[in-house]
Amino acid sequence: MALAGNDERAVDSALIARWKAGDQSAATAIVERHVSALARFAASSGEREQVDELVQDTFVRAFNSIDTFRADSAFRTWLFTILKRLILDRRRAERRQGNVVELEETHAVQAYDALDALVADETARRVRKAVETLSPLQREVFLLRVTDGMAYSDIAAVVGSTEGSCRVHYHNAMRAIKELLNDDA
Amino acid sequence: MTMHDCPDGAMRDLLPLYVSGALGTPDHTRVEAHLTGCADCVAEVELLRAVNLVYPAQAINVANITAKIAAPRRGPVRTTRLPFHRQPLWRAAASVTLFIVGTATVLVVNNRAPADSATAVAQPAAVDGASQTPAETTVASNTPGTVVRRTSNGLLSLGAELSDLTDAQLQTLLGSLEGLDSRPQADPTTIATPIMQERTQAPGRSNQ
Ligand SMILES: [Zn+2]
Repeated sequence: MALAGNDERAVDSALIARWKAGDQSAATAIVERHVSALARFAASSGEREQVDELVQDTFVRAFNSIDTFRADSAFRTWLFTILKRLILDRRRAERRQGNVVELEETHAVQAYDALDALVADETARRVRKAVETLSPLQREVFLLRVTDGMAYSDIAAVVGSTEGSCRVHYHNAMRAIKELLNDDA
Repeated sequence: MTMHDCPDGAMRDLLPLYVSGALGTPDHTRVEAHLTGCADCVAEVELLRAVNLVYPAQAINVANITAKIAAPRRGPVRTTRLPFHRQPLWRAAASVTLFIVGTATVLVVNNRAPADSATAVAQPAAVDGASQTPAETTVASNTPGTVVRRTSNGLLSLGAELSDLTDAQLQTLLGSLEGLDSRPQADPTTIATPIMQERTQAPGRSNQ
């Protein structure tokens, strides 16, 4: 059973305090707690090639500016906002350099087609295609809710929206996915 | 397969949290009880589980990451430092300010001769208080580039003269500030006091 939100915050706060007091092993514990979720988010945002680097940069930045973290939000949410900013910065830089990697829906679907062989389950393959047809914002909200179990308020902080519209995005995404799967059937 | 939506919207909101293991015990139990009687939610949970399978957590080398995380800034020693010309101006200005505050503190202490120990400790507190104007604290720690414009007391006007010093002079000054600067981020309220204590505990003086 996962810890409820407040317990999670307490654990993170305690680890941060230990790290600040000079306990380097607390940093490892903090990274281990959040690394998978960040990596999944980076990958699902279309940054499959640079997941390692993005996640690493996220933690380095976070620890460098840990004094600016306000405990009124969840630590993981704060990490996500840093990662999100890094992803946007990277896209902006790529656009400036002319390496335009717009995450169009078709592009995303094609990129994932190469992985089809790895996804043995037919339902899973169809589900993935359905998720990829969502708009980037809808997909982000949907996946943060489903794979990370984030509260709408935290999702709103990550994607820069409001709690109410995140809830709408989630349910619209769910409806769209169901419709696609119903049509498929 | 044709999927319908359960009319219980609040319950549907909990399903993704249930699937990702983010629910506390009471909600978890509530969802499980609901699932025993609601085929729509069961189907939705299956779909959500499929999504979780499709976007698995990725394996990332944690050791690579922690190796890049510097020791905490409030830890014992900072091992790397930027060359002076690459240090932000506000840090240099804050260091100069602290140096002056420290010097002024010592001067005040020295001028209270014959200083008995109680006076030596009590007086600098007044100097510290004077140096802790909100403007100074804010400017020194948060707003690089506005040191001169936003301050009105004599101490911070020194920031304007920083640019008049040669590199060699600045290096010398910085050298003398080494002890100060190895303390965490400039914070006049916490740093001024230890300086005073170090000086007042110099040979020939004791506050015990
Ligand atoms: Zn139901």
